[in-house]
Amino acid sequence: MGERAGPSVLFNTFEFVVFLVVAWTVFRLLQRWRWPRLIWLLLISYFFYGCWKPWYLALIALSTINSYGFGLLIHEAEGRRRKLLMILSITGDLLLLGVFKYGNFMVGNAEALLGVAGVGSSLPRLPTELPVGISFYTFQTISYTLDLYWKRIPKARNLLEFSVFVAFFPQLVAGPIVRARHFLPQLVGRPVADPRAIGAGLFLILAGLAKKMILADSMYVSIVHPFFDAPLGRNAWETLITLWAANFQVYCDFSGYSDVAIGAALLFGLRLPKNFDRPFWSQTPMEHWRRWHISLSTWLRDYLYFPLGGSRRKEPRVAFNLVVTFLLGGLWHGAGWTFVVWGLYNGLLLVAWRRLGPGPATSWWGRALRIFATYNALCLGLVFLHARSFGDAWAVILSLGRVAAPFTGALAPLGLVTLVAAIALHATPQRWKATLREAFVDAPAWALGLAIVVAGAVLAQFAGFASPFFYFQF
Amino acid sequence: MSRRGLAVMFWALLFSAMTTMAVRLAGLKYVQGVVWPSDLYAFQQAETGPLDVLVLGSSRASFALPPSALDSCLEQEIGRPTHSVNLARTFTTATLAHRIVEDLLRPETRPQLLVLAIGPEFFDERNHRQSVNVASSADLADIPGSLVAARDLPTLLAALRPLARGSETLGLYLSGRWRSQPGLRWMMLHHGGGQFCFGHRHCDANNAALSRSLASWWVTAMDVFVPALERERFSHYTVGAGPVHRHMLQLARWARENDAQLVLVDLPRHAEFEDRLPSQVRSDYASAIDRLVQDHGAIYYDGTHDPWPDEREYYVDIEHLNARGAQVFSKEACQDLLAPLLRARDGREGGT
Repeated sequence: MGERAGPSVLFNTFEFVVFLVVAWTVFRLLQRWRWPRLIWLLLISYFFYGCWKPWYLALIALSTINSYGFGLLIHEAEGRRRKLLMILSITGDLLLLGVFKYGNFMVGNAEALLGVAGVGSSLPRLPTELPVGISFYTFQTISYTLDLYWKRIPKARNLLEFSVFVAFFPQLVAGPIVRARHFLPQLVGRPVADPRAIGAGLFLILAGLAKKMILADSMYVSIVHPFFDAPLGRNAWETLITLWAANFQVYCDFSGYSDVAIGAALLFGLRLPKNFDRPFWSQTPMEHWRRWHISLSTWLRDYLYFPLGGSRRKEPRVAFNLVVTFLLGGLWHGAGWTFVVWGLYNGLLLVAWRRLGPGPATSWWGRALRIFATYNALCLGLVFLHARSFGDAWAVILSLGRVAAPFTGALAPLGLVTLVAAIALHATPQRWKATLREAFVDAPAWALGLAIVVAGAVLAQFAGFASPFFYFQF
Repeated sequence: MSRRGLAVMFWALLFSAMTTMAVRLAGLKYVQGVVWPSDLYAFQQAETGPLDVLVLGSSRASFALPPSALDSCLEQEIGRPTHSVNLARTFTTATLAHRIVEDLLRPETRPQLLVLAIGPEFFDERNHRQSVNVASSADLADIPGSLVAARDLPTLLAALRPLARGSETLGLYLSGRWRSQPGLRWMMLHHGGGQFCFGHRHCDANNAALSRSLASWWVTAMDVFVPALERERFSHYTVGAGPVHRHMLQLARWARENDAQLVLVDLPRHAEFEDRLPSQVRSDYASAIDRLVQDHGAIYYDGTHDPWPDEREYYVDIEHLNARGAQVFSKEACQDLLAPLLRARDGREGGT
């Protein structure tokens, strides 16, 4: 009601549809000329990012130049000089991330420490804010530097291609985190004019928007947000169902975003990696992290866990490696102690499961039990990702013990219905989804046009719930 | 160029335009503001009789002139029950005000007094949220004109909005979302719309709840909006020529043709806002008002006089009145302006 500022170009807005149509049309006109095509991709990506705040462009340009420039030097160097250049490049990336993402977190902690030491004083906060997407593109540039250092990839052919790799708009603000060895080769040749790619891309975009706007947002406004806004007084069953909903809400939100990103990239003839693979079918936490936010999990595995020694060490060292990896993974998600604890919880859960978890299940009920146990263990950790403070998180955990307390009626029917729908969608056999996708892809153009209009009408009903994508905050 | 991609775009565009036309022909076209239009739809469906006072304007108008406060005062002043309605929408300029009148009023619901509760932004061709006005009110036929008139990207995108309007409206209608927001519907059906109401215990609860939810607005305004006020809202202030001006003239013509007295009520603004108005903006704004008064018979009422700019306790933030401020200001506008005008019109109609 107040005259407040409007949102940026989110995937779930009319503005994005117009942007995509214009971006795609010009791209297709330019597709036979490599340089104009790449320049256009970079321009639209920077425009997309600049819509949030124009000064973000300076950061991404700085990060791009840092990694590309050092990449050239690393490529030429050998031995200790090569290592030094790699360290300098990554230090530059981490410095940007550290200042803009963790600067005020560190100042706050220093202030608290001074307070404990009896030197109570308020330290000035840095005049910074968290630029969306910085965690994602920083990890992309770091992976490029390390792959180059380890001689797994050749250097980028030129700054333009590298800039498109860092800034390509579909995956820029919330992933998937793309590797240079997968993405850069796709920029070399002319995009293949695959008529099926249009249908496949549109299918993913519509499916992703439906997941986000219908399922995730409905669960968020009717169950998750009211609960974490005032978590006191709920009984165990309400709390448990809310945690289930919260887990599915994050999944539908983030995998919906990933679907839209992958679909949008397909329209431009570029393939992004799969980011989710039905994670809630996992029988162990280890399996869950192989199926959830795959591009981040594999990044942490390849650039942190393996260099630490991975699983090829003695058990205490493996446990240490797991905990450190998840601790940093938690910190990647946000500058706050609740995120650190969330990471620690998941690291310890993996360590505990390795030592105490049951062996492979042979019966269907054994598998079901393991899936159920894994899911609930992960839900418990989610408390720290959603709670605004440790006090709130503790209140949620305590309420899980209030088994006999009366119901407060806090679970809105809309949220419960969408939770059931989300579970059903997750449980739908892959071949059914594939059949639907193939039918969509092969449908005549008029049918796809009609599907877009009908989808617009359906999604409009849920547009009032519109909220930013959950993973933008990371 | 991908033929299939072009074909899909063509069909999507065609079906979208056809849906928009079909929805319009079915009578489902209604103004969509940024708030779900439950209250406007309720007004359109439920309102059958003539109105005494119709208030249009931005969110400021929605806060400042509650119909129940106006009716209570008017009844006391002119000795008969009156019926006022507030259809103010967020960010409204003359563009949206004109479309609300054209789309929602029928001959039998025309008002005696058409009150435009205004501020400088109401006439601004470069209004910082003109895109909301265009997106909320433009039709398919307006697309070329809106595109030509667009001076920034949001307005350019808003110009294309009618392409999606059909499926959007149809979706809302079929899902029954226009029945949601019971608070807004209740306010419209029982108290004529606006943000506050008076004279009923539910109104006290509504006002208290709203006041609680607005508690942080003053601080936010001082921290966020005041530093950027001049740059964001008035750096390109333009009045007197352009689409907003044309809609204003059409609104004045509508008032004349429907025998409604056009009234311009300049709403109170706190000194934190008032003092930041550039002198050129004041001058242009005053000229726009003068032209409407001289050329179109509008009556102007200045609500920005002392002590309003300094009465901190009457404001939610630097530009919106709170419940107490709205009650006091409504009474003032009623006694000084609206009641004499209605009395004169009653006398004229009685005489003829």
